[in-house]
Amino acid sequence: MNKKPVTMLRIIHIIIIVILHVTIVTYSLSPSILPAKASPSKLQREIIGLYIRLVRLSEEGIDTRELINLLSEALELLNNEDNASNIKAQKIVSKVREAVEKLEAERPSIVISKNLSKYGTAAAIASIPVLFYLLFPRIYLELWYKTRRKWVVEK
Amino acid sequence: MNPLNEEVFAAIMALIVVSSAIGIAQVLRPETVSPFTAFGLLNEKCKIGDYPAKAFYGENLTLCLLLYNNEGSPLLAQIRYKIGTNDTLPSDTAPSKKKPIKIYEAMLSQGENITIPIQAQVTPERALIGKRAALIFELWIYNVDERNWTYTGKWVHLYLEILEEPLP
Repeated sequence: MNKKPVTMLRIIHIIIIVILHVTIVTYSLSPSILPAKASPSKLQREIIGLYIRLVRLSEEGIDTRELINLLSEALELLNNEDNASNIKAQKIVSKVREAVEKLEAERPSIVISKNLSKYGTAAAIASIPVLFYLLFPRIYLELWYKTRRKWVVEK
Repeated sequence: MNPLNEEVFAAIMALIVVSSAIGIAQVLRPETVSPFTAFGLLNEKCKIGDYPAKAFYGENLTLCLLLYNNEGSPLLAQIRYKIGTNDTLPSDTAPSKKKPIKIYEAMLSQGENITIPIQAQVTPERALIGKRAALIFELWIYNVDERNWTYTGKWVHLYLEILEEPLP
């Protein structure tokens, strides 16, 4: 009498296990089943990642225009949604990635030279009034005397 | 006029000090004082005005979208194209509840602008045939700090009378 519910329970267990297996296998295989859909989105994520790094670099005053233009071109190619454009976009993204890595490595020296030139210019402009105050009377008098060197005083 | 005269010299000094202060401010000021993004809808010739007033159901309308970045840093933008009505327009704080039909993406450097020619497919709900529909274009930007797409509160819309598609 008790055998029937036990076998039913076993069958239910087996069904649950099979469903779980199918779900896990499907989930783990899904990227390889849909390569065409998965790769552009991966590339898009990479573009966003590079964009974030470029924003950080530009916030420090580093010129990122050229690389942003390249990424923009890659985005446009991705919108075409064909294989040839995807390959082209991939190449551009690789080129930008290398350039970003190079810029990030050179960041400290670029930032220092940028700051030096910026604050150096400001300091040079700030020194103009001081220099004028100190040097102008001397230079003016020097010139005044030079231009009147040959003057003769008449009685 | 003797420039070494005390009063004349003081006047020249004042002029130089003011000019120098303006010069320093120009060098040290941030590149962008008031950041903003401009977003607009243009007609098929990518000019303002002469927008279509009617469209057949399913027709592809040629329009242009204009985007200008003055945020002080590069901009990654999405323009989400939706079709709605007067009741489903976005607001300054919330996007339209309608689902996007197409998403256009663009990346711009600081100070750059772009004009994107688009083919907007007019496919509203069939119930809107013979009525007025709104083509909605919302501007979303990628928020680098929060790492997600954020609605900017900027949108443009174009009202169109939807006509029954012509017989083939």
